[in-house]
Amino acid sequence: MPKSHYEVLGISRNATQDQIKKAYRKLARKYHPDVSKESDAEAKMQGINVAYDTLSNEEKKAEYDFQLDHPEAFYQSGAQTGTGGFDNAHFYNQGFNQQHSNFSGFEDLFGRFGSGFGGGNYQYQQQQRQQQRSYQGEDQHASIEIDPEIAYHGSTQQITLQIPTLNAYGEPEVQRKTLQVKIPKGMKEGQHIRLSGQGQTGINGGKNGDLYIEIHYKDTARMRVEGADIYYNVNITPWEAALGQSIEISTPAGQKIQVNVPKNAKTGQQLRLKDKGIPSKVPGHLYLVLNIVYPTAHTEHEQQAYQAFSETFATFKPRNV
Amino acid sequence: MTTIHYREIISDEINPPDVIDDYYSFDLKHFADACGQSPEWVLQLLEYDILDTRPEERIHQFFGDDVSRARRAYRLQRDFDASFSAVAMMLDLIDEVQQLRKQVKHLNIKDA
Repeated sequence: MPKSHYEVLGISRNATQDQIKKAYRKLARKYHPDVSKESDAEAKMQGINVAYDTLSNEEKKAEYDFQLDHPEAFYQSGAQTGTGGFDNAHFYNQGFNQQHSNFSGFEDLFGRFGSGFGGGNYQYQQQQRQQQRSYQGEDQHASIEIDPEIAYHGSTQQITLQIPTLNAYGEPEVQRKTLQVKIPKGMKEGQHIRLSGQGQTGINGGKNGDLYIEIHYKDTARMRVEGADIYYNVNITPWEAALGQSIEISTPAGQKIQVNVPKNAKTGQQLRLKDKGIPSKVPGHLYLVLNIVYPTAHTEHEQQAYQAFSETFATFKPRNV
Repeated sequence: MTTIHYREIISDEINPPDVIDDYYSFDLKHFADACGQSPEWVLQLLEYDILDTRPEERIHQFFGDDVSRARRAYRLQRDFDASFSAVAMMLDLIDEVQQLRKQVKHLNIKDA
């Protein structure tokens, strides 16, 4: 069951406009994706923006409240009705479920000054139609989250998105578009690609707008991307760490390489493989983040090994360091 | 009351993208389009040093990496009702925090 806009903002239905604004500001400071360290900040901020956009506008709020009180009237037919406001919550929950990758949708559409129905852009489009002149469709912006391995080889991803526009009769229409998008290798974190003609439909025969997609990489348990650099966790044994040994690792690019672990290496220590990060025009570095893993002692023989270890290091008191 | 129509468009064609990197340059109009904003708004970014100040003859030339910074500026302005000068300071502070976080992570690094 999706959260209501009131639940998203953590307020009651009888909250005043001041309380709505205050709740929004507090959440924006916490979840703004340009500031926040939370992993799901972008998705949360989209929901917060949609909720605030609706509840901070008396007309949209009244319409939303009516929909909450009469849900059966709004979810039975294919088309929805409204007075220019758009049921973003319904739209959001239905529309942006990415089939093959985590596509976070149009920030503008969900933004507070977005181009969804009822926004300035829609009215502008209608005016343009009525003037019977041809206009280029708006460029659209979206972001996509992909696996870091794609940085090395590139990939084709299927994405599904929804674009609010006007149809040939000048009526509001939501286009649900499924596209095959080629993600080239060497894309840095936060870089954009542009798909020509995949933005909003042109008006009266005008050119279609373009679609700009911002690339983000998923943080996985094994690696994370910063710009063109990759941080890659490598598990090593205590004896490899203590003695310093040459170990074989598989890089995110799928290569097997030998790496010299320095003597007395510690967990968290990083080894840099120059230019082995994302193969962008200026290649990034690959940082191996060492993680010492201790074996579990199951058998008597294994326990004796730990016993011998403790006797050898009798003066080692880590809690006194 | 307005009726909203839905239309499903499925394309099996693979869409070849243009990579918008730091070598890709825009003029003012195309850069403004790419940012989803007006040229006047973009000029304010230069006015407030949100984008690097350019020499007089290149003031209307922008690069791929500027798109990300301009979009961040737009989001901050939109979501915090911030003025251009506040956005300029927020971006500087965010960049500094990110740089410091990176430096902390880089302590203890040795070349393999």
